[in-house]
Amino acid sequence: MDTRLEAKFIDCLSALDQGEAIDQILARYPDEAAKLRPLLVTAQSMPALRMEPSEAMKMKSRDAFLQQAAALNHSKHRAVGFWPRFVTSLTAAIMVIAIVGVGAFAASSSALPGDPLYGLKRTIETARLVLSPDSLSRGALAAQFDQTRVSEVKALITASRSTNVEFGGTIESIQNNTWLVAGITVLLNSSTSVTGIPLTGSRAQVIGTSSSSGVAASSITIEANTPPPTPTPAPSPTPTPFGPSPRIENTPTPEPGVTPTPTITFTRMLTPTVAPTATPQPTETEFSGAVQSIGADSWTINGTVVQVTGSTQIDSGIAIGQNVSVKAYQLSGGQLVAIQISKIAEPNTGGGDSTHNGSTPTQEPAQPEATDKPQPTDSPEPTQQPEPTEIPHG
Amino acid sequence: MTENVIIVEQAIQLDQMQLRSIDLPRARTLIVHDELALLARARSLDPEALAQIHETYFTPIFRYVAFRVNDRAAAEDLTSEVFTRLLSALRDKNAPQNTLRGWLYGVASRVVSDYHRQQYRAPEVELDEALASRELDPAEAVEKMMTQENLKRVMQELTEEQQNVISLRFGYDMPIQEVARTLGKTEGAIKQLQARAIAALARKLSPELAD
Repeated sequence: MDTRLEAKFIDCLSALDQGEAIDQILARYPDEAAKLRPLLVTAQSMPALRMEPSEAMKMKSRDAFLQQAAALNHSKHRAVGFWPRFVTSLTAAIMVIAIVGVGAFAASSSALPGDPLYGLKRTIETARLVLSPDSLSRGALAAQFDQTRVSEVKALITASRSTNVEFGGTIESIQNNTWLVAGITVLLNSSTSVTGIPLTGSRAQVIGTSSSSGVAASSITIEANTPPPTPTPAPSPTPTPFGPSPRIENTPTPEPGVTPTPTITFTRMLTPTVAPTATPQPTETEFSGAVQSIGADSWTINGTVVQVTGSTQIDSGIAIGQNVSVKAYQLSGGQLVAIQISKIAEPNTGGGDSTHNGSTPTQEPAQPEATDKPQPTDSPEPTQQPEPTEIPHG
Repeated sequence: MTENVIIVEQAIQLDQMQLRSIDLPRARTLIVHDELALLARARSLDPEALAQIHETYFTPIFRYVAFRVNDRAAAEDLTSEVFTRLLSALRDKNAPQNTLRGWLYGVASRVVSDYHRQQYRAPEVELDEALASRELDPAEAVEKMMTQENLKRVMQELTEEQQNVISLRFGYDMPIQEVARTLGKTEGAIKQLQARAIAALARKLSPELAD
């Protein structure tokens, strides 16, 4: 191919790349059309001829990859692991003991809120948490300390001591203004602030004052995403965003004697209209809006960032600015993982009612409190699209 | 970070320019603005980040490798090997600092070269329907000859540089600009390499074009 023809062919390839049809391109080079056409036909056929991996192979490769990573992670922890951490912990412990004295250190362990050594006890607990070697033992320690808080409050109540307390635990029963949280009677009054949806089985953090009759609560914060103890149906095999996640936490088994379906009648509460069957974890959420960015693994839609994965069903031909509706998992951390992103058809009856067009700025799915949805969305989605097929380009 | 934002903007522009309506798998692999965050998580071997990397890059790497290796099973094995090497790099702290996409391509390219070095070069096989094509108009002949099998065979006859450009452009979905950056050449040089590679393929598929 001489350089003159080559230069023309390069121009033709650029035009082809930009979506021009071969005939249209060749019309500009009538003298060379016969030579250029087979070359352009070759170029145009290329993308369609590439091989695609089989889904099974991809899965197999991914599983092997993640297993190798897990093994690597394990050996890395072991290799770096024990001695340096042990020495650090030991040094820290010796320093704490040296500063406060061995006696105080030992004595503080039985201190109750309001006692002089109680601050030291909490400091030591914090140090232990910080120094714990991994998230597993940290979790176990945190759970142990939570239990310590509950025991302390019980001890204060038994001793009829009045002091400021804070503890957390499962809401075991709710009867008007008297709740039972982690076996402790919690009394509510008109100034108690309650955050979250009061459901038995949910976890609550209580701040208040102890007395012989229990804890007079000044504030109760209910964790939004703790599943209630109502026997939820077995988790349906919904498509996971990818591989091993998201983890569906085990629902705690209900305490014996606790009615599984509580009938909540609030006298002074926020009286939320909540069906006791909350959505299983992770919660599903839906919203819609205009696509602002399309990333390799996350999109921004109407100001909200959602992760996309290989399992995300995405309508083909979505461009920036397109109005879409999004169905997503909300993980416990608040992140959204898209299950499906579908186009919203542009209104074909004049542009007057553009508010109906999916742009719903009032909906804010990034809030973790998504469990107040009235029903789990297990009805077939009307906008369900088939798996997007890949369009060979060219 | 600024540089990253520029890359994203360029990628979006390229997308809109080249694809008219966005072809999603291509857009996903093109836009790299989350790569830094993903890489940071991958360095601590966060399984979710690693799964995401595998999900995003397995297909484009496979397509790239499959353009250069005339065997599906081998292409699949070599693609998995790329990810194994990523783990080794993460372990040895040799992992890419900012561009995972380019880095993975580099590994894929080496893996393919290693493979070819180890392979016995089989004698070239006559192309399917090669004789029939002589009676057709060159454009029709090329069209008829452009099968996956034939393409794989004639690809092997290109220079390594030409193979790379073709595989990156049509397998890895890289725009000219990015191929140029990845291979350390000018855009003009890549355009020329691409043109010559395609012309060579066309000639091999339809000998009438050989003049």
